[in-house]
Amino acid sequence: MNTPKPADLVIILITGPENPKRLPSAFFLAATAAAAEQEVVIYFTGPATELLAKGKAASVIPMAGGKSIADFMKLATDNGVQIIGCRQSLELNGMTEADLGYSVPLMTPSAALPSLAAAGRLLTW
Amino acid sequence: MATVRGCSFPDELYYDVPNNMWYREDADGTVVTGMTQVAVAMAGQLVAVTPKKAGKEVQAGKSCATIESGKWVGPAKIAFDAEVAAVNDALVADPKMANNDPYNTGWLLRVKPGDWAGAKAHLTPGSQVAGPYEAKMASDGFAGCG
Repeated sequence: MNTPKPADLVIILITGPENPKRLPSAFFLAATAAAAEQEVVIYFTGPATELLAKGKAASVIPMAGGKSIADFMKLATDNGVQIIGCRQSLELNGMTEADLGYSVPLMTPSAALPSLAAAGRLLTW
Repeated sequence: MATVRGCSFPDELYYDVPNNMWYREDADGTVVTGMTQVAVAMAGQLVAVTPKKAGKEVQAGKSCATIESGKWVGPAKIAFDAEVAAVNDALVADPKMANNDPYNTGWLLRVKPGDWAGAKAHLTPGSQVAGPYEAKMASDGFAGCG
């Protein structure tokens, strides 16, 4: 069985809708790395998981008249960034899988940890 | 020169319309490439251009440079296999040159194609680019270069 190649960059995204101005840079950084052909993963956990709910990311607009977080997430995924959600954090945010607006893999921390720990670089955000 | 929704496309160039890149063959067998006026208009004012280095092999459909503006980041994708022969250092130092003069001083790379004849067959000559670009702009919902 082939072992998947570790990501070059993993961003563990913890910041969620409660602090919108912190979010765009995480996705822009991920998108930039992916545009430079790095393998990039963003692991949504804690409050960040709420951004995966239907319509939520589109409603978070860090700068009046500017792009929504959904737009920044699309910039990242358009460049090939992979998004993974934390399964445990769904309950934390009052969510179930039915509330997800993105088709993303859900992993428990113990399942995600080996690949996160093997990443070339790991940032928490 | 063709003009589509206010965007210019010099006749002597070849275009990769889906990826918004232009190509100019030079007498020495190298090909100069850059972003079309559409690409830079969509990206907005460029703040960083990071091309592959001279000597690097680049593959068809893959990134030959990372392009960054205030609102967008993404790859400039080359249409054919090639070796990078030269980089426009002036553009790297002042990325706005691509916005101001995308087809001349704003060139991105000079490359040695693996098979230019084969590559050219898949590009659109400037004399024929108006129709495909009008269709692409309509499909992308792009209003024009203003």
